[in-house]
Amino acid sequence: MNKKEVHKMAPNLSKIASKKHGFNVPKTYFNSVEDGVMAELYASNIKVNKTNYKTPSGYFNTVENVTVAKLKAQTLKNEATETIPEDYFENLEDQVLNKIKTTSKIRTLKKVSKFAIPIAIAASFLLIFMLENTQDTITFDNLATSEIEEFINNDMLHYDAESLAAIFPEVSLDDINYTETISDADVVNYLSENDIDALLLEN
Amino acid sequence: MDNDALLVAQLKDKKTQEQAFRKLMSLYKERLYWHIRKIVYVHDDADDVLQNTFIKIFRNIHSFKEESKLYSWMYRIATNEAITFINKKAAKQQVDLSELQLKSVENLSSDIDFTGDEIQLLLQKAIITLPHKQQLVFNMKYFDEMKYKEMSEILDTSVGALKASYFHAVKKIEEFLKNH
Repeated sequence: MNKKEVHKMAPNLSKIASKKHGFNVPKTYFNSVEDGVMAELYASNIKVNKTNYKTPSGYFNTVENVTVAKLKAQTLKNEATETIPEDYFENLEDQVLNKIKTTSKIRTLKKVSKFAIPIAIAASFLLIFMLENTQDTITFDNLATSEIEEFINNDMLHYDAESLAAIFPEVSLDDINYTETISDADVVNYLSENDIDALLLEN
Repeated sequence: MDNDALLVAQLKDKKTQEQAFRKLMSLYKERLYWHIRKIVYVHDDADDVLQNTFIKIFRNIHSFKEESKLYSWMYRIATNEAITFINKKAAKQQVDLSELQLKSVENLSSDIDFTGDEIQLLLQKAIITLPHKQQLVFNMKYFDEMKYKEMSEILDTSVGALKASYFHAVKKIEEFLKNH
């Protein structure tokens, strides 16, 4: 049946110009067909090579039994290592005590000059007054007693009892009158709450 | 040696195989693609089938006996691959082939890779009302303008049977277009 015959028999069908089916493809699709097919061929060749590996006959029938047996053997081995020497607990106390006697460590405190802290305090005094008064050269002689007192009263000087004791060694505690007495119970409580060993070492 | 024979000889020779295969793909990819596309409808499916077709051609080139034309042989492989594909797809969706085709054609109106007008869409709906082999005959004759002798080699059907089949296909489609 040629085109004329089709046109005569099927005029509606003939109206569809140029016999286009209406399907499209993404642009550049046909540019990549060859590469896609070659890649697929290479990939399928690799797959073929992998299936050349073989296993001994009956291997997969026995693999579970062998694995379980190995696991059991490993468990037994671990249990066998969990043993201790005979009389271990009986000798333990003596061993520990002997170790304490023979290895006594003496901690020595690093000697620090007793003047290090007072010097540091004095230096900080100078530095602070220098910063406040940039024009004149500051020395202790320039400082008025009232200024130093004000400095201390405003809590700008940080000191501790140890530092003061080091600065004023001539001051004895006997000169200070305590208004309260400390009971034995307070002493015991204090000692139990604090680390005695640390106190002993410090002193 | 004609071009076909030379290409086949190069395809069978390992030294020239890859280059010859690339040339083969370059020559026939578009014709095979459109033939496949009209059977499977969806571009991605057509791409898969086209790749499978060429891979099959590559793997079986040694068994090509050159009793038919190279193109006819490739076209037959493409047809079989496309039909196998849609049958598998229908089985996977647990529907018969006609139902799958109906769904596929209904989806064309929302498919970005289909830009046909109303009558072209109506024609696709008309084609799926034909028996499956008649659909192939209609597509190959009407759209691809293939000669009956070539179609006969591809579909393994006599020229007379093909002419009759095409005649009936055109009549049915015209009836469908008239009534819709």
